[in-house]
Amino acid sequence: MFEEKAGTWISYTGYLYTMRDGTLRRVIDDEFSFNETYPVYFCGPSFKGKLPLGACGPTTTARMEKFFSWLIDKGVKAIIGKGSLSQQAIDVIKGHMVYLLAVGGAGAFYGKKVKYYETVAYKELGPEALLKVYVEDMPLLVGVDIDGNKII
Amino acid sequence: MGLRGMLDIVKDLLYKNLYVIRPDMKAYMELCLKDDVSDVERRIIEVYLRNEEVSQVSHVPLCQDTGLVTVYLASDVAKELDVNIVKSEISAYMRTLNMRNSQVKSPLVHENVGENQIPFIKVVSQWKGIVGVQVSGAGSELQGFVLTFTGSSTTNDMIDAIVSEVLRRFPKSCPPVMVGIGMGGTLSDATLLSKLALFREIGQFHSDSMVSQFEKDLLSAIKMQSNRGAQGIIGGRCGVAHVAVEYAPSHIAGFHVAVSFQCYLTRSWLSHV
Repeated sequence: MFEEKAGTWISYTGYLYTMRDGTLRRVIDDEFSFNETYPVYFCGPSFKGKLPLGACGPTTTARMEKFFSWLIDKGVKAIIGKGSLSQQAIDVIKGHMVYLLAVGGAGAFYGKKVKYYETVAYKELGPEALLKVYVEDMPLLVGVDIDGNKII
Repeated sequence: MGLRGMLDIVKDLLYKNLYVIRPDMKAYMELCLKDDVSDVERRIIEVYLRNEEVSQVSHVPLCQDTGLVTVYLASDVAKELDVNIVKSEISAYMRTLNMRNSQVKSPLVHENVGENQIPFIKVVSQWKGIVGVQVSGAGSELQGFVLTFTGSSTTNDMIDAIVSEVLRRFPKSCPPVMVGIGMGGTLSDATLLSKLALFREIGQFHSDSMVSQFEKDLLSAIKMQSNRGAQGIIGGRCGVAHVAVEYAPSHIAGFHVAVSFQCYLTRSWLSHV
């Protein structure tokens, strides 16, 4: 899974978990256990408008670097977000996870790729709730491949 | 024009911030597409343009990060308006725009307040007959920074320091970006000026020739040293669209330079009233 080289576009259909700053703090504090492992999408949707989640583009991944080791321990194989990473973070994920880029600022575009979702936990965090989302044909660019090669 | 007319203009500017890509940025991106950009960069820009179509049809904002809203009123305009009325009217209008609840209580309490409908209002003494609205998402806002220089700093010292920091930060801000720079005055003046600079049109340089030369030198140094394009990808060509500088008189001992970014959405719209 996710063996494509950095700089390759892929089209993802399947489930994702959404997490970001507040969610990650909570799942770690609570030692939250996941029944399944899906790619983790760093995203906080707007929830409003004529699409299931409203606008839901990626947020800045660099803020989540401190959580990468925890995600790897949980068996996460792919993270999805936007923007560059430090070399230190790339060294951490190399061989364990790929970093996929969704196009930042294209919230409506990605909102259209969402077919349905369910709230798994932390509804009170609003856009930072933990969601399980089903997406169809979501275009993603391999930003850092499994060998640590990068385009970002 | 009267209160009602002014409020309608502010509302229109806010709508455009959230649902329309500013025409000068759109023109810049269309020029990039005509240029010899890589397939990766081309596809990113095509997604940007498609995003606007989906946004307007679905009544979903261009970006989920509908950020913090600031309304700027020229001081002569503010004299005619009751700022509290502006605040409450704009708050009410914001609730119709499908904005995300992006505000937590405070930097110390990470508790979502369940709405983000508090616009910040700033009265701008440098402006006359102008209203502006700016939406600051975290992607751009959190990359902003301030540098401090001494009275003996040279223009080259400034260019080197600013460029080095811009190169480090802009790839995280959904490029192509606009770089707004405010220099001089107090710390708050410098940061405000950096925000006001973002209202400038892409390609339009300062009317003072020395400042415009400084802008051009900064832009060309950034472009020469950066190999990052749309979304910050390596090998791209369209990463930085423009640099705009605004300034105020400064202290003999030194001054601050504040730098603010805006992503490809260029969410800074103004109108002359």
